Parts: sequence; structure tokens; C-alpha cells
Amino acid sequence: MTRYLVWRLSLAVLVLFGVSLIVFMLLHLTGDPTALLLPEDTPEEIREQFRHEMGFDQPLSVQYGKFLWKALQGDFGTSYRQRLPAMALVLERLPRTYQLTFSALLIAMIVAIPAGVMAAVYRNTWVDTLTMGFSLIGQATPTYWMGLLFIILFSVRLRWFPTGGAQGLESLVLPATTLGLYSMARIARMTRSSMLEVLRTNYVRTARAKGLSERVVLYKHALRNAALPIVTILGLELGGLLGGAVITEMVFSWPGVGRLAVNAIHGHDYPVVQAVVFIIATTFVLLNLLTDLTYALLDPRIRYDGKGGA
Amino acid sequence: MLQRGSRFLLAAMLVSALLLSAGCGGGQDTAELTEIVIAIPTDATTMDPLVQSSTRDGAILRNMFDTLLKIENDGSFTPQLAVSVEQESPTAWLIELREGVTFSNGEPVNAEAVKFTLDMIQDPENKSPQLSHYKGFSSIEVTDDLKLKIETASPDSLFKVRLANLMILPPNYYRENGGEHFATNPVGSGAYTLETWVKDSHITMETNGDYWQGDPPYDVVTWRVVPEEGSRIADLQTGTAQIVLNLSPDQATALDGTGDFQVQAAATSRLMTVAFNINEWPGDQLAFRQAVALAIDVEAIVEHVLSGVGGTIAPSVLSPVIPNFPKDAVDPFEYNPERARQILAENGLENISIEFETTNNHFPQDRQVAEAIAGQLADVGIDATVIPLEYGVFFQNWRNAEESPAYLAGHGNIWWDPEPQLKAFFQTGGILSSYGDEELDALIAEASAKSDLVERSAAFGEVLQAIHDQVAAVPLYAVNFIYGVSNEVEWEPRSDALIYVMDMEPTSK
Repeated sequence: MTRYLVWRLSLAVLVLFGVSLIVFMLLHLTGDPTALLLPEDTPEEIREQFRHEMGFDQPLSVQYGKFLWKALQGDFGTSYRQRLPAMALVLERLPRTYQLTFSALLIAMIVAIPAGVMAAVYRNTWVDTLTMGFSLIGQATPTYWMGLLFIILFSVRLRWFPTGGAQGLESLVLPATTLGLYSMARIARMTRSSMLEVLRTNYVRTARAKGLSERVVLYKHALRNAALPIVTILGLELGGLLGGAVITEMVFSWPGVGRLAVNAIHGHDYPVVQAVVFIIATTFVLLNLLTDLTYALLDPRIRYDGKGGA
Repeated sequence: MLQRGSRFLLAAMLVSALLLSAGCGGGQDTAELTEIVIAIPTDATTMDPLVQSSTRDGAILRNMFDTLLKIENDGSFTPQLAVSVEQESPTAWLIELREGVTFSNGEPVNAEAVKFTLDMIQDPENKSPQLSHYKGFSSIEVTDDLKLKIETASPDSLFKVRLANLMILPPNYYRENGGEHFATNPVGSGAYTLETWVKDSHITMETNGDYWQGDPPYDVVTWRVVPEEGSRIADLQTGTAQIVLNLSPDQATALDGTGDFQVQAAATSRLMTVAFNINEWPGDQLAFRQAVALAIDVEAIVEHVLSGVGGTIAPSVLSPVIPNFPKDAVDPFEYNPERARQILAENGLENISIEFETTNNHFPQDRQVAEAIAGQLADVGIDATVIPLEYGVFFQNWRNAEESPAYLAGHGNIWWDPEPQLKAFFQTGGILSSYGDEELDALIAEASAKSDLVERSAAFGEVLQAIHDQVAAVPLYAVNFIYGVSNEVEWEPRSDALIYVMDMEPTSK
């Protein structure tokens, strides 16, 4: 198990290194970095001077090398626009994004798992059709559109919730629900198909034959075993939610990392972009690792030491 | 004008307040705090005037920092921190500051502070984006506690405009705490002080209670950061914000008259043009340029692509909001596709194909306007392929004069004067110029040298006429910024997109 962990962690470092290199290349291929940092009519000599002060006139390999060296020491440079440490700007906003993402997943799970179970149990009835219908709509509807629709209905018309911002729990409801919709749909589907498989098995039949109540059969025996694929998808969903949070954050003016990233990209604020990407990539990689480990915990048949399953 | 009226009102209020307080013996006013909420699309990047140069940051910062002069909508200058600015010689100016003004931490606003601010900007190590604007100040001398003498490297017709953009920093506080601290803990002499800044969420300002200009109309100003236009509109409709910025033209027309607010479109100095690169055939052909000018129906573009409200048609390359200069002395190009086809045929330019570069979502509706123009060019036999470019790439082409033969470009002008814009975009070798003509260069040089406003105005009129005759560019429209303003507030947007809360007035009072 330890060997497996070490192996996975070294892979993670490789991934992060690769991501930072790719992002660096992409950023620096988009033209003059001073384009948005100086007034457009700045004379050439002054622009050159500025470039020199910022280190833009050095070869790309040197710039990347310097960035990497400092990054390894935890210094991701200074934001070009805000003149403050880039990583600090990201870490400042991270809790908000995590708050949004976890709430979204929670809402998704609370609705989707029971819905998926019911759809499986009442397969091919109106319950099933309704649940899967909503699931289809949830997956097909763009977050952006749904978010605006929610605002129009629940904020402007009904005045139940604020239009945006992050003040208090009530401003979390709409964005978390919007963000969670897509995951809700996927989790419901996954739960349903996983449950269907499990409900067909011998041990479930045995449990029923023993005279156990349907609820015990469902939740204590069936769902436990159906949980495996669901857990996998939960881990992946969380990673995907981090990406989807960008749009939700824009629509609902939620002060998270996603908005910081979008503004930094638009404004060519490279240090902040690098910092954001690094943090999100790290989160994603660690989540994947965690998911795989949980997998092993839930199913004793799975081992990561090279013998047997996985 | 509104400003004078509200100033008188404020003065009257101040006097009566003084009289009342004299009688009451200095008790606190227990009335509720008045607040105004302004919804903005992006957060401020910093609270330090030194390291920013954008209008967005400027709009917020002007309420916490004073400049030496203030420009009114008609281009006239009103004294702010400077009560007199006199020109001693073509390259020397004497400035006298207002007495008794302090920063919010008690530091005096004096000549030392002004010199400190300019020194900081001029120091390349501080990487101030405003360096190029003040580089021409060759010497800054403190002659008295409240007096300065500034010398310029050469005669500077934009001197007063530069003073109107100079926000003064407190020397002691800045030196003691440094720029990084100042960026989130600013100290200025303006109407408001920073109360809280929750990044990407909101900025709250409060009155410092002791403003030299008088009491501001609102005790609290909250700048609410709302990136999504739909959400800003929701804020306006629910009354969460009294003023919202950056509405798009089609949303604006749908919104108008639907609630307790007004939609106000204000023309800015940003002028959209079809520009030509004479280094790329057929950009160097006068016939081609003339044909393009005749093929474009600007009215249709403003009416249909900008919903009639996103732009103000401009007959010349100088925005209509720039006062004192005869931009309407030039007749606009007529819309005549027949004539365009004729000119192309007569010059062997039938059925040509060109690329047509544009920015992509950098200027409002830029890509859509480019597509519309390409459609109009197709009507006269010019097959134009629209190439939307990311701003960094577009800007590089712009600076190196490597654009397509014709391209969509927005000319900025923050100087209330034609010289910098025309030099940058039309002079041979101008920073963003892809054009060049000796005769035009001579006219520009001649006009720039004139310091008398009447002569300058007439001379630049000739320049604009030459630009028209040579079809150095085809002027389209001045970009309009569209605001939503609640009926509870009386306020007129400025053409330079700055927002002075001092100029607002609650209608309920």
C-alpha cells in the first residue's frame, strides 16, 4: 500500500509539473504580455523599460526556470495587476469555492441518491420515467442559463433569495443548487444503474428470502454494494464541480477562485493564472487519489499492492 | 449645470448644518446613514493610484483621492487640490495648492505631497503604468509649502489634463507602509475613505466627515462586484443597486421603461474605425479605401447591431464628446454601394479577397460589428474574411503595423485633445499607426505646435479634413457606455466613464 501511495504521489508531482509547463507555454503564446498592463499609447522605450523591469525580455526557458525555482519554494510571484503575492490571492478565495462546491455536491447527493434508488426499485414505472426525465434535463441544461433563470424566478420575481454575492447562507442556496444540478443528474443515473445490477444478485434475493424488510434490504445490503461506482463518480464529480464553479461564480457573483481565474486570464495576469491552475490541479489530483483509496476501503477485494483486483 | 446646482445645495446644507450644530453644541447626527450601491462588472485591482491606469480603477479611486484639477463634461477645468495653475513660460508652470486640506490620516496636502507623487510615478522601479504620461515633467520644484514650479521638457498642451489625472498620495504614510500595504489600506484626501474591501465581492466607502468640498450626498457608498450582466440587471430591478454599469445595447432597450429606473447611454471618447494598413495591399490603394468608406452603412450598424443605443455616429475620427474641436466640420462619408462598385471596377479591384482583423470581445460588440461590415463589403464585391483575434495578439499586430489591409480598431483618447490620438494612429511611425503620409504628418505637426485654442482647433480641423480626403480611416461611431440609474438618484454619466459620487444627488431630498 505504501509503495502504491508513493507511486501515485510521484505521478501527481509529474502531472503538476506538466500542467504548469503547458499553462506557461499557452500564456506566453498569446502575444505581448504588456498589452493589457500599460495604456495603449505608451511609447516604445517605456514599454521596453517596463518589460525589462517585469522580466519579460528574457528567453522563455529562463522565465520558466525562474518561475519553477520560486514555485518550488512556494513563491508563485506577484500579480501583475494587483501587485500582491499571487498565491495569497488564490488562497484567500479558495474557501469560498470549496464552500460552493461541497454544498453543491451535498445537495446533489441528498436529492440524487434516494431518487436513483427509487428509480431502480420502481423501474419502468412513472417514478422511473419522471426521475430519469429530470436527470436528462439536468444534464442537458447549461449552468449559465439555469442560473440566470433561477435569479429571474427566485430573486427578482419571488424575492426569496438575493441576486448574488456571498453574504450569509441564503446567498449560497441558488448558486449551490445551480451548480449541483448537473451532478445531481449524473449521480441519480449512476445510482439507478448500479442499484439495478445489485438488486438482481443472489445475496439480495437471499436477504429478501430471509424475510428482512425492504428498507433493510435496500439500504443495508443493496446500496452498500452499489456504493462503489457511486463513490467513484462522487470523487470525479467533485473535481468537475471545481471547473463548473467558474460559470456559477460568474453568474451569481460568488467571490471564489473561478472568477479570479477568469479575470486573470482576461487580464493576462500570468502569476495568478499559474497559481490558480496549480491549486486546482493539486486538488483534482488529490481527490482522485482519495477516491481510489476510499474504493479500497469499501471493497476489501481491491488491493493496490499488485496482487489481486484493481 | 447639475454640478453647480448641487454644489450650491451642498453649500447651503453645510451652512445650515453649521448654524444648527453651533446651536446644539456639537451633538452627533442621529439620522439614518444614507447609502448608495453601485453595481460594477469587475473588482478594482488595487487601491493604490500609483500602479493602475485603467478607467475602471480610476472611477472608484477618484472618490478617495483628489486630483489637482477636475475636468467637467464640457472640457473646462475646475480647481480641486490646485487653486491656480499658471503658465509662466512655454515650458514652465506655477501651481498653487488649496489651503487647509488634509489626508484622512491628518497629513497635510502640500507641495511635498505633489512632488512625492510625481517622483514615485517617474521612478521606473515602481513600474507605474502612468510613467509615460508624466515623463515629460523634467523638473518638479517645491517653492513654498503650497507652491510648486514644474518644468516640461517641451511645450506641453496637455499639461492641465495631466494634472487632472494626478491623484495625490500621502508621502509619510506611503513611505512608512509601502506600496503593498497601501494597495489594500489606502489613505487619500477625497470625499470617502475605504471602510472594507472584500475582494471580488464589494467595496464599502464611508465619508471622512471633513471633506473640503463639503458633505458628500451619501454617507456610505458600496461598489458591488457583479460580473454577469443578467445579475446586474436583476440588482437594478430589485433595487439592490441604484446604479449599474455596462449594460449591453439589446438588454438596455428591453429594460428601458420597465421599472423605477432609467437607462442612460453616454457617448465616450472611444471611436471605432475601420483602419487601413498601407503596408498590405490593397490597403495602400486610395481607391480601395474610398470604396470601403462608401460601402459601409454606419447608420444600419448602429441601428441593428447596436440596437440604436450602443454607439453615437461620428462624422470624423474624433469622438463627438471631445469639446472645442471641429469634428463635425467634416462631412461624413456617404453610404453609396453603387459608387463603391464603380470605383473598384475603374481601378481593377473587382472581386478581391481580404482578411479583416478584429478584436474579440475587447470592445463592445466588436466581432458582431466586424461581421456586419464584412457583409456590407461583400455587397460591393470585396470578400472580407473576419479574423477575430485575442487582444494580446491583436495588440502585437497593432504595434508592429502587421494587421490585415483593413481592420476594426477602437481609438482611445483620454486627453480631451486630438493630438495624442491622431499622432498615435495616423502619423508615420506612430505607436499604433499603420498609415503614413507626408502631407498629413506636416499638418499634424503644425497643428500640434499651436497653443492658442482657436488656432489649434482650426488647424486640427484641417487635419481631420485631410484624414477624410485621404481616407486614412473610416470613422464609424463613438462607443456608448450604457448605465442603469434608479429614479432615486439624479446623476448624469460622464463621457470619460469616471464616477464622482459627489456629483450625485438623491432625488428624495
